[in-house]
Amino acid sequence: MNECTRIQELIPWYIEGVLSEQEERDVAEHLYQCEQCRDDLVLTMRIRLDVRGALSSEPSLPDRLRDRVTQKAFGRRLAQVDVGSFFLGFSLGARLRKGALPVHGDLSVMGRRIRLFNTERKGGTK
Amino acid sequence: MASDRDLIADVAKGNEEAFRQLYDRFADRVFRYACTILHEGHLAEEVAQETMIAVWKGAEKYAGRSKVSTWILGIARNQAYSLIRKETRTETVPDLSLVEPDPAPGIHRQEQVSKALQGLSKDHREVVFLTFYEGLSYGEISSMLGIPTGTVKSRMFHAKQQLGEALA
Repeated sequence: MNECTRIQELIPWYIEGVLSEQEERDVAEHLYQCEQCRDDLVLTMRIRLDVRGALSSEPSLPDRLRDRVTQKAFGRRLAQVDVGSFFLGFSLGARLRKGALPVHGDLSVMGRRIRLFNTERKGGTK
Repeated sequence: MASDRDLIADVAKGNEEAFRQLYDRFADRVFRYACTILHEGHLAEEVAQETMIAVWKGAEKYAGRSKVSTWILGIARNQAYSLIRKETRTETVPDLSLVEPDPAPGIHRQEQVSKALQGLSKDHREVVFLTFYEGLSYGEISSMLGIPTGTVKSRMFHAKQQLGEALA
């Protein structure tokens, strides 16, 4: 493999800034003296810009999926009791997940929830 | 803002809020990656869903050897390929690598680029996505796909040549 081919293979990652220091130095030094590889750098940058533009313009993941995923992950909420205020509170909840009925209790301090207990060990239904 | 690693550690402890944040950070990226592999929106949605559920269930398995993004995209890749295997058992998945790029003048640039991307083989398109959209190094791509670094570089080299010709 000649030096130009080696450098042109590295150029996509040189543009991304994810090469090792040594490789980055090799590419920069080679580009300084090689017009053909500089042309390749420009072409690769244009391709990168085009690809990012095309991929970003494609439709995003529908929002409705978020609820579906969280419901499947956490289970369907059956009951939830919250006591207290924003500053200090306690909640007790039960969910239905794959035939199991996990019950959990959370302490909330300044809006941040801390899990106190959960009758179902996470990962236990894998 | 919590780092990806902090979030995944919280998810491993069962923190639902951390999972929601992780979902917001990664689900769309997973979906786009799955689209790159599958080219079918509804199948990519299924991959995004199953991947994020797998992240919730398996967060404690994250060992911290790779970036969280690489780990999640790796799960997505496994999901996408098992879906391909399932689909090909029941019906034929259209081989989009056979779609010729349309060089007709006047076509919208992004559409032209999308067609050029579809003209790449699945393997080449995947490396282009992981490099130019996800910004992964060739070493990270090599570990994620389980192929030698030389193969990653040569796939990118040929994809770049093909894209260059299609978009000239």
